[in-house]
Amino acid sequence: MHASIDQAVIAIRARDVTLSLGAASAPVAILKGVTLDIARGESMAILGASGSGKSSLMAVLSGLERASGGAVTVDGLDFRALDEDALARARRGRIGIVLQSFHLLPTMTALENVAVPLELAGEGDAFARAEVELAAVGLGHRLHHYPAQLSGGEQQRVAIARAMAPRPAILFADEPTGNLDAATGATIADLLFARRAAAGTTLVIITHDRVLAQRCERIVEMRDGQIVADRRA
Amino acid sequence: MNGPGWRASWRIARRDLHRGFRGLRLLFICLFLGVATLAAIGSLTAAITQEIAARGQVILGGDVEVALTQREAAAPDKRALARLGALSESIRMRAMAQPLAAGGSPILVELKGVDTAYPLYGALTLERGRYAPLPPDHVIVGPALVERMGVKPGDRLRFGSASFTVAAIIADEPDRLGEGFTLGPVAIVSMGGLRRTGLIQPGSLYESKYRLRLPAGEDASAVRKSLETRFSAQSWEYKDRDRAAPGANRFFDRMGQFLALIGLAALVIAGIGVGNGVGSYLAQKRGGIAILKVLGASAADIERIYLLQLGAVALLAVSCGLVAGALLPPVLVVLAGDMLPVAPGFRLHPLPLATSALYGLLIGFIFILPPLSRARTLPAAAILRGLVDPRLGMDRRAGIRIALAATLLVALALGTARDPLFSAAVLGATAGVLILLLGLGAGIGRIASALPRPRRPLLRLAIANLYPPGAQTAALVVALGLALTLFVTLAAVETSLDAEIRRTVPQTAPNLFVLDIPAAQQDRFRAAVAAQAPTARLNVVPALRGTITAYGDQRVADLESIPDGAWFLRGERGVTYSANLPEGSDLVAGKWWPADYAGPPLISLDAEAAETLGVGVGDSMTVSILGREIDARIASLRKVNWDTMGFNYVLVFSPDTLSAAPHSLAATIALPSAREGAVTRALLASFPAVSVIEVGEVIGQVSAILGQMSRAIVAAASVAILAGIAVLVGAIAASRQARGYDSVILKTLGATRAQLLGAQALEYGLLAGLLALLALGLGTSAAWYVIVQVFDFGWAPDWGRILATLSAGALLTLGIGLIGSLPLLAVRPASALRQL
Repeated sequence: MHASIDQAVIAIRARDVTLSLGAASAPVAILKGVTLDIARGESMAILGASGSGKSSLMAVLSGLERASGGAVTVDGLDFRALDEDALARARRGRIGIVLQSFHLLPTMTALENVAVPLELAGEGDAFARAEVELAAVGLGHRLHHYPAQLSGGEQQRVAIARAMAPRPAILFADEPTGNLDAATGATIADLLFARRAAAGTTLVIITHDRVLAQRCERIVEMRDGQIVADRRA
Repeated sequence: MNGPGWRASWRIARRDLHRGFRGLRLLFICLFLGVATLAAIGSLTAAITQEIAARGQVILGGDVEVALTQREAAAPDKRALARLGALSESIRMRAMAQPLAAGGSPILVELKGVDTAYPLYGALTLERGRYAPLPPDHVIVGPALVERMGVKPGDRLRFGSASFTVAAIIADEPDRLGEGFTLGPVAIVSMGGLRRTGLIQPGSLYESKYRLRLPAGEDASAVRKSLETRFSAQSWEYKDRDRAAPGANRFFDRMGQFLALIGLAALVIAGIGVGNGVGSYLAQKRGGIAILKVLGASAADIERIYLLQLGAVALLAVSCGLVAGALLPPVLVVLAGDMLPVAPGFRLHPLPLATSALYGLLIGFIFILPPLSRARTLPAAAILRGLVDPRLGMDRRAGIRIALAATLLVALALGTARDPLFSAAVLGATAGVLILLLGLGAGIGRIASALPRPRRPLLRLAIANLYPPGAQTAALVVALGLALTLFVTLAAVETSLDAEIRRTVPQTAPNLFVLDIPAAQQDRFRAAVAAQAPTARLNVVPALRGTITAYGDQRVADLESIPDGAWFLRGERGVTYSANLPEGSDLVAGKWWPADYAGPPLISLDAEAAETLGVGVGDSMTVSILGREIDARIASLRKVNWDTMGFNYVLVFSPDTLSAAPHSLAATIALPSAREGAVTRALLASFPAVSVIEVGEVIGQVSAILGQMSRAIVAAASVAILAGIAVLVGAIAASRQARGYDSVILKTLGATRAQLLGAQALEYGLLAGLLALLALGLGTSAAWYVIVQVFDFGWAPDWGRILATLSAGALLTLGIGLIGSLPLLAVRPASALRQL
């Protein structure tokens, strides 16, 4: 069912991935054998209803969650061999993540929030680069504002700047417009695609918004923990 | 890519903290309280013992002191001493000060005769004027005597058969502490004046002291040792400036150790608060921690960031605690007034401060690690799920570090303890109580979860609040349990001490002790008492002083240290002889000698003392009396009832051995208290040399000492209670998040504030009721240990007061719990729901 992609350009490869959560005595199967290749520079939407497993798939593909079975290879790295810490290091500079609820650090300013991943990666010019990134999302004038002093749209822009600051090869966005009104959501989507185009980043958007999904080059649909459709937009 | 390193981690940590450490207030308060208490106790003890050591020459009144009882040194011995340095001679004894003016009552004083060289060190200061050697008919008196007798300079007093003019009032007697425990206020006369009194008679109880000022650079300890060797046959007692007041030093050292252990126990309790505070702080930070992980932070990065943050607050708390602890002793010295033997000025004492800081940091580390380990192992994906993740736990690495830190803590406590076994017992008991309470907390949670769900929603909520997820039952149980246990312990200790004071004055107790009755005038003495109080009951015994110099094959001088409980080996003790088994004693081994026994010297020994020394009937014992060593055989063992307030002696000789030695008699008189004054006056008129001690006066002094001990224990334990309350407040604050949600939902569904408060009261009430029972058991056990095992007093708690204190404590903790819940009730559902 999945589109065939040249091996050399594969950014993410998932083979027969399963994920079970809950107690060992009564596990709940979340992902049931997902196989998927995502090409470098590709934009892809994972579409599905609530509970279909799309956010869990993103968690597994981005290394936030370790798969219960199957194999995940990202940028040539086999995630099966990595523990929690190695996965964290693997994400640095390789994977950016934008979440639906922004999840900014409330005690830090916009600038500090964007600088954090660069500091964690041991980058020396973290604040200068963070400033550039914030300017790129139109928040050059909001550098020293705390999350509570920013609107929802502005917070999501900071989240995008934070995700893009380490110049990741792959950007995951989990319902990036889900908490925003239609107009703001559209602006954020524009920004995501613009930043992706500028950096040549692979973009994986998790959404149940078909309009947003249509803006991607490829759409994967999920139901009950499995991929049920994989097509070019 | 590399990790963030310590500098970047500190930047991130500091940023997170820059809005203040509101969430870490509990960590701060608990560590501050614990460290401040330990530092204050340690600094005060060090200040007192160092002051005593530093002022050794002044306190002793010389570099070396030689003391003799019931006799003076022979002239050749005095000349030998004088060749070593400047010599000062003094004699002190108990005597009655009698006002010559009509209407005044005689009182017991510590009469001291001094030579012209006195004092060799320091200065005897007077309230007015300068001290100069006194003429034979002048006396200078302590302020306590002025207060009690109402005398003033110029008034006349009689001691023995001589009268004196009060020349001045003493402001400071430099060697006061070195003189040891005294029963009455001091009065100082010249040696010539003392001899005028006629009180120095063969057999009367007095102590001669010879103090030496050695040439500069001379080693006092070496001189003392050479004197001990040279005059080994004399059974003199020696002291040097390095151990000028060994009794006081030992007391403050031990009391300091005991209070420090209470402080350490308080710090361990505070550790629970630290763990709780850090736990709830990191729980609030879960979102941020997960985000940091999403952004690439490893477990080590998270640990570094939050360890820096928590470490900074812990360091601040420890530093503030040290400052408070260092500044408190001068305040305590002022508050204590005359209760302390010396009034040390402000000085930093690095060792107790460093030890307190180390204790604080180790306790902080031990209790910070478990919640930090949970944060460390928080998976990044937690952000995609709810707040509760059952997979969270402490990893092995943290377990090993905690074990190492705990080992270091125990090693530090035992390494710095005078009595490691006792310290180990206190620490073990504290750890045991904590583990018991933590286990009970977990047990209550399990039982609550297994109970059938009540139909009434608020009762259901109250019970559901007791078990996870989100429950703080373990922390609440620990906090409530400790607070209530301490309330019970304090009440039981206090009431037992009160009872001890009352118990020491049995109904049949004598009212008067009379000392220095001439041995030949026993009949005249009995007649004098009978004339004033025909119903009086007298017990007259011979009174001598003696030093045990050997028991079995063991020379006391060869002992490295005095065995525990062998107080009677220290210096001279009262000795008597008797033809019959003395009052208040029961024979438990051997046989009492026949009334007309005239063989080799025999001894009847207190059975407890025999057990301490490991000797029994048939063993030998050598006792030095009036400078002569007497070898005796132990003929019997007696169980002595020390509570009778009569004359109780560890050593009783067969009469033939001592009856020829010069000695005086001592008597107890039980009589109607209305006759006390008349008997005292009559005795002093007929026997100017006797000293009359009112039992009430002694009891007053003992009560004052017990009261001071009780206050010190209560003060130290109050810190533990404060720490317990801080833990309680912290536990309530920690549970607020989960309860806030419940409250808002219930309010939305129509619950009133009273109903919510009722559910809360029900929950805390259930806990408090259960814990009150446990606290009763634990608290009384702890108090029993302190009273019976530590202080060797009788166990007689007042159960009514204990139960009242426990109820008040339960109500107080319940009140604190409910007050802590009030903010939840004030939350408006609409505003809260917007944030949920």
